[in-house]
Amino acid sequence: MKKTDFICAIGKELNIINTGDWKVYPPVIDQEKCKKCGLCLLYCPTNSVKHEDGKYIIHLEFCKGCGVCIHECPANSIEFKKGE
Amino acid sequence: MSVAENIAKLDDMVGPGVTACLGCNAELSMRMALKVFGSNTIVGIPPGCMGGVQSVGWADKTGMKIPVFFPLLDNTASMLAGIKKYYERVGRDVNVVAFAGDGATVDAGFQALSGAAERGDNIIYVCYDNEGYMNTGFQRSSSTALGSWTSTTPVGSSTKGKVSHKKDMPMIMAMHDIPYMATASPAYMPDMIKKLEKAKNVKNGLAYVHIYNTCATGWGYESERSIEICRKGVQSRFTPIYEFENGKFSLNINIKKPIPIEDFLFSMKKYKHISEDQVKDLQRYTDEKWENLLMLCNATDK
Amino acid sequence: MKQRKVVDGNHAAALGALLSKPDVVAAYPITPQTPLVQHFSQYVANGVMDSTIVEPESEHSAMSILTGSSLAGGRTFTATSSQGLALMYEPYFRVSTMRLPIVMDIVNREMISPQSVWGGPQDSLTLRDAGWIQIYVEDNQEILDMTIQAFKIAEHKDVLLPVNICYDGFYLSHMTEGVYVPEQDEVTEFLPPYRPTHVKLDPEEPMAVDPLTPGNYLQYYRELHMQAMDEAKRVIKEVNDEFAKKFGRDYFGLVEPYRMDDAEFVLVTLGSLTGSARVAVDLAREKGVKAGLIKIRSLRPFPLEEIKELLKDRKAVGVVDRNVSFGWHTGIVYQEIKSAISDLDTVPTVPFVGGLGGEDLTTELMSDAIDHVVKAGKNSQIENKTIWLINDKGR
Repeated sequence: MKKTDFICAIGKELNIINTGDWKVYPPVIDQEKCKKCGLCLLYCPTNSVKHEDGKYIIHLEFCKGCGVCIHECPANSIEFKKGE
Repeated sequence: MSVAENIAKLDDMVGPGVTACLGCNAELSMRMALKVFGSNTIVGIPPGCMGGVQSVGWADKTGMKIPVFFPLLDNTASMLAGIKKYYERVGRDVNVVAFAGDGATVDAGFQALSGAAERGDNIIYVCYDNEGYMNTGFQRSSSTALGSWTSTTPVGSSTKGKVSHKKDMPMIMAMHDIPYMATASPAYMPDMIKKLEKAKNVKNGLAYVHIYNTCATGWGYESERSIEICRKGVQSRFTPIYEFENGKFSLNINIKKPIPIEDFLFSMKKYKHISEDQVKDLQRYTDEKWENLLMLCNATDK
Repeated sequence: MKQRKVVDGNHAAALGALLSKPDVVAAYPITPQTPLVQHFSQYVANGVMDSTIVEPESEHSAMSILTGSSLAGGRTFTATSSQGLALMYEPYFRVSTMRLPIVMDIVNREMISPQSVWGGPQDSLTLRDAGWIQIYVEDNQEILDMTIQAFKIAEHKDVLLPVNICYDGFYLSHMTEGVYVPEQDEVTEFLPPYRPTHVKLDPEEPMAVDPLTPGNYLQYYRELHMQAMDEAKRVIKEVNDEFAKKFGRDYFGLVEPYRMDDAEFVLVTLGSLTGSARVAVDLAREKGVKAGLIKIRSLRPFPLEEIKELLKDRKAVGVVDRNVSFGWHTGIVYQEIKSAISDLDTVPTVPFVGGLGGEDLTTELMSDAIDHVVKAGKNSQIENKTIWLINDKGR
């Protein structure tokens, strides 16, 4: 029988699920083409797009590779990085 | 500063990595709503996709950085009302929020929600409407649209998909005379964010936000097209974006030249079988609802 | 100065809850519990009660609202009956397994069909395995006193389980009796405030309540829940003794024995029908029959040790049930007693059923029951066929 510190079903520590493993290819933003509209950040379901030093960057740890950012980018600045 | 830059500064209250499908805009809507509501929030997520993807947690771990619980499918609003009543009693202003699917809202949870709306319980109820019980393999809900294939309204020689129209839940909630009701679409994110902020600031009753979500897995389209399908729903006027605030209706995204409803319907697999008559019926339904909405906007525009 | 009032059972329950100062009360009216809700609403309207009252649109929501308020940290109270309890079953089970010390008085009423609004504990007995503590009471004073004790039992750190105080609809709910009403100061002293730490929803201490839970954890929580029920046996007795000392009324804890010292022939009862059984025992004693009585007070947790001890070496036992267990062809309490004494040597047992749907269980019928028990004891035969106690006078 698995024991916990609790007397009923509660959870305190944050559950981390490594959804980054799901993707086939990683999406990458071409900073040269990026028009900084931020739509990728607003549309990313996994909260993987961050705004850092004036740039939009895709963090890949939890990105599932759904492709919404690529499909929605008005500047066509995001692509799956294939190969390697 | 752009909307995206502002949103970028807000903390994500949901744990990194929940097991929602690729391109799930219910996950997107949940993260966005809870970013807007912030850390002084208690959220209830009833059975449905967002409960199933471990946003409430797993075993002895939590899926959120804020207090989160798993209401029953049919008591989300009343359980939240109980939480809010206690915090009001002890003089603490806490956002008490539901993030519930259409099954827990339009079907089984309807009575509890209607009761809370009538009593004026000060809770924020967000419904992510993906038009069915998607978590368990897409069974029909009363929010499923006419003609849609679901696993319980299959396509056969006798019937082809669901035989009745979608329940007009946003209008039903507006008719409860709650202080704030809005529809929203992830495709129109700045509008959705503004509405979530308004809902957060309601202090004199129930605030209801109905988000028209889509579902790549259940509806049958490629995951990258989630936002596109949402947008087509709005552009065809099938999912009108409006709000009802202190007795006044207003249209927030006015679609002057709608795309034909076929462009929306045939962009996914769940409608691929539908007949010409069903398309006509859906177009008529859409047009009538839109006309009614415009009339209400005009009538309440004083 | 003790205050004495003439009140019906619902009024007694309302007074008990009022004195216990719940933070939130949510109750949906249902016959025969309705006057209880009306009393509460009037207390708040008159400003004598400080609780937050929520008027839910159903019993399902009543229990759900209390679930929320209890998780936020409040003391909560409600009451229901019969169909209302049935509608509430979904959150009812969940409250106990979430270990929320909610107190709910159940005004026992038949389950339909046929359509009936009259008394009988079929409603709550059917739910005896849903994890709540269930205490059945006999008169209006006991309703008031136990409603207060219920909070202390429920909120005890070794228990943390919800409690039902069950009393028969109409027989008690609408019958007036004189009851002593304790002073508020004394009750407040007896009942300290509720401060939950084991489970709560508070942004200052974020936690997930009821994440998806795999079986290996679920089994552990079930084991703890069962242990808490065992602890509750001790706590119910401790609270009873503390109450008796402070207020001068002793209910003897889990079971109340009556003329049991030398009893040979025993009736086991539950709830308000105990009254006529007591009189029948007295009458039998006058005729030289060594009759005795055990009133079950706590059905959950079940007083296993007490029942075994009390029924050891008796000549025969009869159990009077105002309810049925379909498929066993007896009442429910009979099944419980039978299980409890299964390892005692052949004490003959007789199942009785009667008083359903508002029928009277008269002293005469109880005397008939004692006669049957005596006969079973003399024949040393275990009667396994239910004897119906039927009042056919005037029907």
